[in-house]
Amino acid sequence: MDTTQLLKGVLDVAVLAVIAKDDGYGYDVVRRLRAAGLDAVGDASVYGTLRRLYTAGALSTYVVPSDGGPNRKYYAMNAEGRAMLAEQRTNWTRFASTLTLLLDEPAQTTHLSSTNGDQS
Amino acid sequence: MTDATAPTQSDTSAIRDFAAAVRGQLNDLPADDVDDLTDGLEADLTEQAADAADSSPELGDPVAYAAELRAAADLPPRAEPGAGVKRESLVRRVGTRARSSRADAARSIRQSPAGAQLLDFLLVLRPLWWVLRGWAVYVVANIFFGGSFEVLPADPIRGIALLAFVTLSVQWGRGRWLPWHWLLGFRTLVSVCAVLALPWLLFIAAHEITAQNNVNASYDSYVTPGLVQNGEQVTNIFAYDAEGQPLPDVQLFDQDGQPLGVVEDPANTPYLSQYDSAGTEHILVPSLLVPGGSGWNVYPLGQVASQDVYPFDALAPLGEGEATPFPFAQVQPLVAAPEAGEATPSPTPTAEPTASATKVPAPTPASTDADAQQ
Repeated sequence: MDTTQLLKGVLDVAVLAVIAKDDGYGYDVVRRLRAAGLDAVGDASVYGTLRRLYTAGALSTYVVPSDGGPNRKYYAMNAEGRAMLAEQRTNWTRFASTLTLLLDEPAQTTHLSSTNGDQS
Repeated sequence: MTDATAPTQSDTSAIRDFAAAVRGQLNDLPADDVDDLTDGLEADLTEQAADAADSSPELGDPVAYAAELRAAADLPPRAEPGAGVKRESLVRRVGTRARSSRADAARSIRQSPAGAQLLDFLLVLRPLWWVLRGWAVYVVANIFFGGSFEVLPADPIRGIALLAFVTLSVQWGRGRWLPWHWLLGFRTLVSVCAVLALPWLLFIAAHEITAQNNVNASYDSYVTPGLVQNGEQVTNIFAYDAEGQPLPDVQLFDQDGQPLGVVEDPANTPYLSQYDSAGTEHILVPSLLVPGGSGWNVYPLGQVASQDVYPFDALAPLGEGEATPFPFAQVQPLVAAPEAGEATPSPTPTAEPTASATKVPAPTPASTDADAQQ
């Protein structure tokens, strides 16, 4: 299965979850997502998602001057972001359990169909 | 590449080039969007390069990278300029950018309740802007073709022109009467010109209207105080009775029962200065027979010598004026009513003596002075 396609649908909630743990700047969020196991996440996708969530009002930003480098724009959660995360967490849990159930069933179906196949 | 943790010079320049290429791919977006998306892109890429220091940093394709940024940020994919539509794409790009920045502005204003209310209020006023736009086009056209600035048309033909411009502007505002696509751009051009011209036009118009009002106001407010006959100020009145004899101390009132005075403010006017045809100044004073200096409606008014007044001393007894000499010692006595009734069918015989009689007695004023003084 193409995990990049799967990732697209859940990137919002993943980014929100990372930032809910701690504020972060662009590449910092990418690094934490990759460290969590989402190796395939594209940095451009994360930057775009951060920007979109910020435009939607779910994130706030502040600039932190860094020594010896350019200023870093940090993203932080706000009330709207927390509400969005809570809602998406519920949705994900429901979706994941539904899909898990759905994926459990085909084992029997396969067994039945294989017997059907044997008969034909 | 080397396995140094710090990025090398070539890495830094590669990253800078890559970031520039990404920004180039985003240049059809509003500048704010591009800044939001690529702020700190170099820093992020540099850090990523440092993380991946053991392997050679892969920057990849800036076009794909930009497309990924756009897709994730929910921004429209880049409209690739085709081979033959380069010129149109520039116009379209400006239009798209203007539209998207307008939408962005509206969205950011609507984020606050006050901003949303203000925007709704302004939307209601949009028809006013359409009318003003039509008017502005008319005025500018009139300056070019009629050679003069006119707030409102002076003749029916120009009135029709103004009506046509306003109607067209309103229809354009409603999105009607735009059969060709290029008219949309033309409408924008006209609107921009109108927006630029309107402050000046309204300023000049307001100036003209104010000037006109001032003329009207000064005309209206110029009312000669006191009594006026044929535009000349009346400063004194001499009454004669039915026998043609002079009448001293006659009280006169107008149709509303107001004292008929020759001064504007009788209670606060101690005297009235008057020049006769020879240029001599006469000072007229109200009758002392009415207390409180309000005897300005008792004729003829008395007069005092000007040296008694100047220098003016409020305590000086101005009231003791002497009687003003009557212009005529006596005038033609009135004729009896029946005779006048008979005479009216043929006015010539009676009119002639009356007219001459009023003028004849003039040469004998001195003798009546004594009578008038009692």
